Amino acid sequence: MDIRSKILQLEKEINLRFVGNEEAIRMMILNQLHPRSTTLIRAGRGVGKSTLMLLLLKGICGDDLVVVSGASEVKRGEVVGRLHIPSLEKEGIEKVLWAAFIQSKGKALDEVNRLNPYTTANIHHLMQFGEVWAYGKRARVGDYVLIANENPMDATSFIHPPPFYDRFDICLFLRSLTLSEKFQLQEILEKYDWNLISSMPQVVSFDELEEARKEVATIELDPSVVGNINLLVRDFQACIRDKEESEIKPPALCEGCHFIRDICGTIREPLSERATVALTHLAKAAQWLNGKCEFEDILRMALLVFPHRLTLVRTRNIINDMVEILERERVKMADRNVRKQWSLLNELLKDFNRAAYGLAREAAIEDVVFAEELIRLEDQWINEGRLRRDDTLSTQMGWRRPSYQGVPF
Amino acid sequence: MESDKYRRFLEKQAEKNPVKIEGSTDNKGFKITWNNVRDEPKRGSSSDILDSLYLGKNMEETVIIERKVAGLLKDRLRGLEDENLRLRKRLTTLKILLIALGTSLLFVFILLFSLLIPQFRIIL
Repeated sequence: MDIRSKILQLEKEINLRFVGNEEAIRMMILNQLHPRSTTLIRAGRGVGKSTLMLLLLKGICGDDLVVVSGASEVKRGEVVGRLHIPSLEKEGIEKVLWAAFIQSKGKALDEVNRLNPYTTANIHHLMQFGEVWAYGKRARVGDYVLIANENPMDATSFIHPPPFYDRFDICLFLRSLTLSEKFQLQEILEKYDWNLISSMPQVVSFDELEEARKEVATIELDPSVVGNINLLVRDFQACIRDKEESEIKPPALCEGCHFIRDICGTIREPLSERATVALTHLAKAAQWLNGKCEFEDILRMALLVFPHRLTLVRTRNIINDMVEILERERVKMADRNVRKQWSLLNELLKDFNRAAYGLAREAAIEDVVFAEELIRLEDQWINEGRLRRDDTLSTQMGWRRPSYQGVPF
Repeated sequence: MESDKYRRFLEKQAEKNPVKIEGSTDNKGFKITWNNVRDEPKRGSSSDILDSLYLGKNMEETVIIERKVAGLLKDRLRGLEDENLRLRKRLTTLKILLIALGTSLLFVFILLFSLLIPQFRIIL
């Protein structure tokens, strides 16, 4: 059996033991196909967060997995390592014994919302730099699979900073089971003698997973896929009033803005560039596993990559709100194609052309991301003496790229 | 300095939705044609309404629009209606404020007038 078939078999084995949430499982599998993958599962109490986490880890790492429980780690701070007391007492040497969590390939964090700040900081550093520190000693950590879960409705002990959550590639939201699915679950439990985790076989070895990860890394995505990913992320970041640096945030910042009805007006804290990286990893994995990655697939991936990375102006139900925004995004993309604005930009990149510029200006009034690109070109044309500052879109609409003394930053 | 991938993305998009530019590069004698390679819009398709919106062309007697364009227009109309409602609310608030301010000014004026002309106070 080749690696691709084994990965598909892994998905099948999980689906045999976990009822519903097929899309979440598929995305979770795709997310394992890049080095140092991190997955966050968010769901209410008893929906199956820990079960899903352990099923996947057992399927990849077998017994080489360590679970750190947030609830118990409130008291202890030895997730990373502890001092070897005999070495200190006899030889006066500070020797660190690295914890099993650091050494294992499969790392599970149960109820991450309850982790104490010390442990969170260590895991944050591990996810950021691939290393850990304890007692002034450093240990490099090789490739791994890290899966965490939390119940956002739980009364948490600690509130973790947004950059910590940003380090998770995807965030899965599990739903509770419907009536018919509950019957299904009971049948499955009886079939596996009420022990789903023990019955889960190791389908892929970690070496095979690393091989798959290497193959996925070599996949070259179609320029349209890369472009759509970048566009999607930029739409969730762009602000003609530079909200990233502004102390005033939407909705106050959007008062009187030309783009007040656009997607940018619904986002308070924009996405980080990690969203682009995570989407690219998933797109490559989908291309490798399924042989294709369409725009519809990217939108579905975005639903798991974006929610834990941004803050909306008004949140009622994060998933429903995101679905609504992504639907608007789909319309926006179609609108861009209808206006043929990228074709116009392509022509303008080759050479300045006043008539094409006129049409591009009209398109820019409808699209802040396109406006940014056009304004950048305008600056170039002004320097070349092809356009007067007074005739530009940036001057007439009062939109400027952040700059000081004419030098953009 | 443009990224090579960025250029390739734009070229790919231009292939899908081509524009044909003919004539000189100044304002006069210039022609831009929006060619659809894959799905040439039929007469009476959404191209009519989009051409009228973006290029100022006259529409046919009957205009049929595609679902996605209808969705786009609906979304924009909804946005404009929301904005309209918001502005109307603000207008009402400002009107109330203006009336309150006018009434206060009138009282202040009467007060000052009565201080300057004592007879006026008697009249009041």
